[in-house]
Amino acid sequence: MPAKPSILYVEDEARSRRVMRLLLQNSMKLEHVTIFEDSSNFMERAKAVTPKPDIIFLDIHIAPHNGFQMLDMIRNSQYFKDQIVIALTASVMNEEVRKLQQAGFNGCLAKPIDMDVFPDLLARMVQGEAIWHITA
Amino acid sequence: MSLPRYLSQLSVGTKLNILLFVIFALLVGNIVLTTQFNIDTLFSGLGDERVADEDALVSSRLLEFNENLIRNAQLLAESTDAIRVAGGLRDTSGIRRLSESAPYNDVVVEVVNNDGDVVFTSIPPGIGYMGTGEGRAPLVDVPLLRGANWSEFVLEDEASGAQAFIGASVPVINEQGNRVGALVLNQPVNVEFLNGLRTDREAVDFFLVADGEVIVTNSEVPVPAELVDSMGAREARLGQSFVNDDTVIIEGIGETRVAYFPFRVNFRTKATMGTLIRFDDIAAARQQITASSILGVVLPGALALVLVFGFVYFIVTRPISRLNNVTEQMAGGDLTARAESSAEDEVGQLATSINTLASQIQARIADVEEARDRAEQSDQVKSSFLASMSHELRTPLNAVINFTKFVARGDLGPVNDEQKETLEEVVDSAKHLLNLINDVLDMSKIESGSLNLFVVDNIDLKPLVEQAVSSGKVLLEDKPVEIHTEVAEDLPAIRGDRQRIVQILLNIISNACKFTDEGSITVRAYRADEEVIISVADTGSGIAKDDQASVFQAFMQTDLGLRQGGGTGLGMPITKNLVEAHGGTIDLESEPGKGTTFTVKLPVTSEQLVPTLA
Repeated sequence: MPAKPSILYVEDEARSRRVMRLLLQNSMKLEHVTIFEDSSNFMERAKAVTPKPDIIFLDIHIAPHNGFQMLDMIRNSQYFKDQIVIALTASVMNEEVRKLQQAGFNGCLAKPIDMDVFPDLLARMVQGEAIWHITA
Repeated sequence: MSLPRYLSQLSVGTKLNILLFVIFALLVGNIVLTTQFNIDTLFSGLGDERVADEDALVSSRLLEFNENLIRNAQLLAESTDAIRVAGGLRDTSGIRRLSESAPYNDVVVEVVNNDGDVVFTSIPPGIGYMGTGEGRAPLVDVPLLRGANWSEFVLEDEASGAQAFIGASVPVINEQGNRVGALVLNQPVNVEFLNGLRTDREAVDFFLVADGEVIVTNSEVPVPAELVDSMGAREARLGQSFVNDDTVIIEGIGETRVAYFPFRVNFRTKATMGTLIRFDDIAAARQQITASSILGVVLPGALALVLVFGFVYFIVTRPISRLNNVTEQMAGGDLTARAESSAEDEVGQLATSINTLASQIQARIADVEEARDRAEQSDQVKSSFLASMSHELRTPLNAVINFTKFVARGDLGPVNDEQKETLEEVVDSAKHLLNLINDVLDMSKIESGSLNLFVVDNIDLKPLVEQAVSSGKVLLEDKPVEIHTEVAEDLPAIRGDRQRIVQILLNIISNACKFTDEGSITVRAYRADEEVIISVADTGSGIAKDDQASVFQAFMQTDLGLRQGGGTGLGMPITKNLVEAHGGTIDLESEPGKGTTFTVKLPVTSEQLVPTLA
C-alpha cells in the first residue's frame, strides 16, 4: 500500500471540504486527493478517478444519493471490489453508527475530525483496519 | 370418579335433561302404579261380585231343582200306580207307567216298601248302576219311617266308579191313610246336569270332589290337582262355602276364580262342589284398560318430554353453547366475534353483556395501541431531533476546531506565541463545547427513555480497558501520576453494548486522571462469580461525604469538580445510567485528601439484555 494513498472524498458542505483539503493536501502533502461536491453521476465519476482510490470517505447526508446509496453502488460494482469505504459524518449517535455498521462501511470518522490523530488513523484504515472513531 | 365431579363435567343442558327425565319417570311411574292399583282394585271388586253372583245363582238353581224333584216325587207317590206297587202288586201296566213317568230324562224312579226293600226301579237290572235293582237297598238310604219329604245328595261309590246323585224321597200313602212305602227320584249328577246348572254364560265349569278325587266335571280341561285338594275344598267339606280371593291361571282357560260349597251325602258332607269361574274376559279387559291407561299417560308424557328436551335445547343449551363458542373465539383473540341472541332473557342479556365487554376491550386495546403508537412516534421524533441536533452542532464545530488548529499551527501563515496560545484556547473551548453537546444529548436520551443499547455477545474487556487507560494517560499530561493496570487472566467476555462499555471505562478512568495530581491510579478488572468487577482507585483529592451522593446526579458537579475537571458534570450520571442499563451497579468509596475508588460491577450475561439482531 502506498505511503501516500489515493483518496476520494464526497462532501457537500464547503467548510468540511476545506478542512479535509487543508488536512490532506497542506498538512499531509498527499497528491491524489479527489473531492466531489455532490453525488450526482457518482459511479461514473468515481470510476474516472485516477489513480483508483485506496480509500473513499463518504458524507452521509448528501444529495442526490446519500452515503448509504453510494456505498451500495460501490459494493455492487466489480470495479470497486473490496474497496475500503469510510463514513465521515457528524451523525454519530448510537443508532446511526449501528446503521453504518449494518450497511457495510469499513469504518467511521466522526466530525469534528481530530486532525492530531487523523494521519495515524488513515494509515491504519488504508491497511484494512476497521476503525470506528466516534468520540471526538 | 365421584358423582358430583362427574355431574360437574356434564353440560347444563344434559343436567337439565337428566333432571327432567327423573321427574318425568317419577311422575309416570307414580301414575302408572296408581292406575294399576285402581284398576286392580276395581276389577277385584268386580270379580268378587261375579263370584258372589255365580255362587248365589248356582245355589238357587240347585234349590229350585230340589224342590221340583220333591214336587215331582209327591205327584208320583200320590198316584194309584205307586200305591199299588208299594203295596206289593205286580201290576205290569202300572209299572210301565211308573217307568215312563220320570220327570227328567235320566232320573231313576224307585219304589220302596215298608220293609225298606226296593220293589221297583226304572233302571233295568244289569244296566246302569251296580247294585241297583229290585230287592236291594235303595239308592237313597231313606229313613222311610220318618214319613217326611226330603231330598239329599247321594254318592254311589261302588266298584263301578263313583257316581253322585240328587235324590228326593216321599212316603206313599194308600186310600186308607196308611203308609205303604216310599217313592224315590234319583237325579244323577253328570255332565248334562252340570251344564244345566250353568247360567246363560259359558264361563262357569263345575267339578265335584269326593275323597280327594274329581267324580264328575263339565270342564273341558282337566281340573288342576291343587284345586282338587285345596284348602277351599277342605273348608267346604266341613260345611262352609269358600271363595278363593286370588285368581289362578288354568291351562286352556286362563285366569279363573274358584269357589267351593258343600255337597251333603246322607246328612253328612262328603263331597265338595267346586266352581271354576272364568276371568279371562275380565283379565283381558283389565289388561286392555291398564295398557290403554298407561299408554295414555306414557305417550303424551314422552311427547311432552321430547318437547321439553327440545325446549331446553333451544332455550338453554344452544344459546349457552353459542355464547361459549363466541367467548372462546374472543379468548382466542378474535374480539370482532359477536354473540347473537334475539332473546331478552338472562342468556340474551349475557350475550349483550359479552358483546359490550368485547367492544369495551376492543376500544381499550385501540386506545392502548393509539397511545403506544403516539409514544413510539414521539420517541422517534425525540430521537431524530436529538440526532439532527448532534449533526447540526458537530458540523460547524468541525470547521471551528480544525480551522483554528490550522491557523494556530501556522499552516496558514505565521502566528506569534500569544496568538497561538489564544487560538489553542479557542480549540479547547470548542472541544469542551463538543463534550458538552455529547453529554447533554446522551443525558437527553436517558431522560427521554430512548437510550437503546446495541447488545452483542463476547465483548473482550481487556483491549477496551487498555484503550481507555491509554486515552486517560493523555489527560495526565506531565503530572507525576503512575497508572497501573491489572486485568485478570480469566476475565470473561461479556454481553453488552461495546460502544457504551467503552464510554463507561473512559469516563471512570479519565475522571481519575483528571482529579489526581500526584500518586497513582490503579485499574483492576477481575471476575467475581457471574460478575465482572472493574475498579479504578486513585490517590486524588477525594470527595467529601456530603458530596458523594451528588456525584451520580445530573448537573450536580461539586465546586471542586467544576473547577478542576472542566467537564460537564454529566459524565458520572451518564455512566451510572449506562451501567444500570447493563444490569450492573456503580459505587464509590472516598476519603477527602486520600483518594477515591469507583467500582463498576457488570453481569457477565445479563438476562435483561437481549442481543440485538444485526
